[in-house]
Amino acid sequence: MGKKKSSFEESLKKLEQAGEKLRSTDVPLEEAIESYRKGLEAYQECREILDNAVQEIETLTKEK
Amino acid sequence: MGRAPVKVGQLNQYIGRILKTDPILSDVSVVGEISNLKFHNSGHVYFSLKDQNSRVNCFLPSRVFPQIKCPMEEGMEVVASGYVSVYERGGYYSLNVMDLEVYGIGQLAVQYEELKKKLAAEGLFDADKKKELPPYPEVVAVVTSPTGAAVQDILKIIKGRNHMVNVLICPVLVQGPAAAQDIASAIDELNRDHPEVDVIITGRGGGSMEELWAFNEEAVARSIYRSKIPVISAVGHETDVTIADFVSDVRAETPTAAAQMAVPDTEQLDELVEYYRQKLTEDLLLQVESRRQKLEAASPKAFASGIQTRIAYEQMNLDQRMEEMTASLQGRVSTASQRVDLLGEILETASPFGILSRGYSIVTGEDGSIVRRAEEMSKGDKVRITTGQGSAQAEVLEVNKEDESWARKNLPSKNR
Repeated sequence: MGKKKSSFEESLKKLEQAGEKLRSTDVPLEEAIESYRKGLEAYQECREILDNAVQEIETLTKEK
Repeated sequence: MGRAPVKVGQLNQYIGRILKTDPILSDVSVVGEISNLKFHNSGHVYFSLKDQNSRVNCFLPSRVFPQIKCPMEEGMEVVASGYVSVYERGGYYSLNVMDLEVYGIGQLAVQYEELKKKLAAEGLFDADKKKELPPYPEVVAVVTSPTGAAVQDILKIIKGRNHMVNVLICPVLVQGPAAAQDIASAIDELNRDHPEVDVIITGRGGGSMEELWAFNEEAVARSIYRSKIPVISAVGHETDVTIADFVSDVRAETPTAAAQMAVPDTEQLDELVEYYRQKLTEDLLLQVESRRQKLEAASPKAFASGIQTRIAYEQMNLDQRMEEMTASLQGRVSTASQRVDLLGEILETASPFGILSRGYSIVTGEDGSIVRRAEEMSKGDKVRITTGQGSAQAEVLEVNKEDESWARKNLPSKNR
């Protein structure tokens, strides 16, 4: 179990933020399109994490 | 002094045999307070039982230890059952414990309340010390018995809800004298060696108060409080509330409930992510659409149509005004005409021709002027007599200037 913290949480947050930015009323069109693009990227990350996750159940062995 | 001396070992052996065969000492229960408690690496437990004036060594063999349900703590009053034997090498006797029970049920309740009070005073239960559970954990550690029902329940729920999160099971004793220390060490160890763990569930399935006791012990409470990783406690059933529940960041009523709060449902996450994607596309389209509408509103076509609308409006306005004016004019005309008719009638009644029709006549001179007095005329003047119907040409035969008028002669005088 490595410490890879490009986590689902972060990607989901990016996705949410892209949506928020996109929805704000006076965002220039270029920025709106950029937000959309970033949102899609974050979406792909989320999807990848969701789809490719492999669950591990491990039991610690005690050496005492 | 008839007998020959014996060896030390022989003496101890002999005493041992005597004690072993004694009907009382071979099966005895002793009440006392635990002290000098030592858990040896070998698995054996050594302690003393004491009362006010006396103490006895006790030995709890490792093979018996797993069957002991009673918690063991310094100062705890217990009933130890077993047999008395001699330790030949040391030359002392001890109580070989086969079973251990808490002396008096009330004792545990008192301990519980005392510890609760003490830890509360220290701030271990403070709400502002509670850590939030991570919404999307990647590793969940489960500190419980590897063979108990709790671990099965937890795994079942986690596997059913979430196919992403990894589970690290930390097998510990959950009852008996060594349980508390075991649980505490596991939590400490997770914090030290497994920083990837996002949340810890510790607990066990239901049981008697004694069986759950480890979760009422100070060592467990302190380790939970120390833990940098959020801890969910899940001990027994809904009605069992342990000290661990007060210290933990979140108390789950059961191990099943703990698993449910520890991990999100991945199906819901899936839906959430899809929802966001769809919303993203919709929002972009909305942005573009609002731009398009603005552009359209500013186009020459829209401008022209705007003007045309305006013109049509003005025309309607104009027509309406015109109609109003006409109507108002007509009203005035009709009022005026009525007035004229009325005046005409009045005029009619005042007309001299009306008088003529009653028998009067008008005499006009040659120049057309009305003759009001006889002296205006002379003999031989040609005059015109106009009657109510038709007129006549006449010649003056005689003028009587002084004549009283016909009226004066013929009408009766009022003065007479």
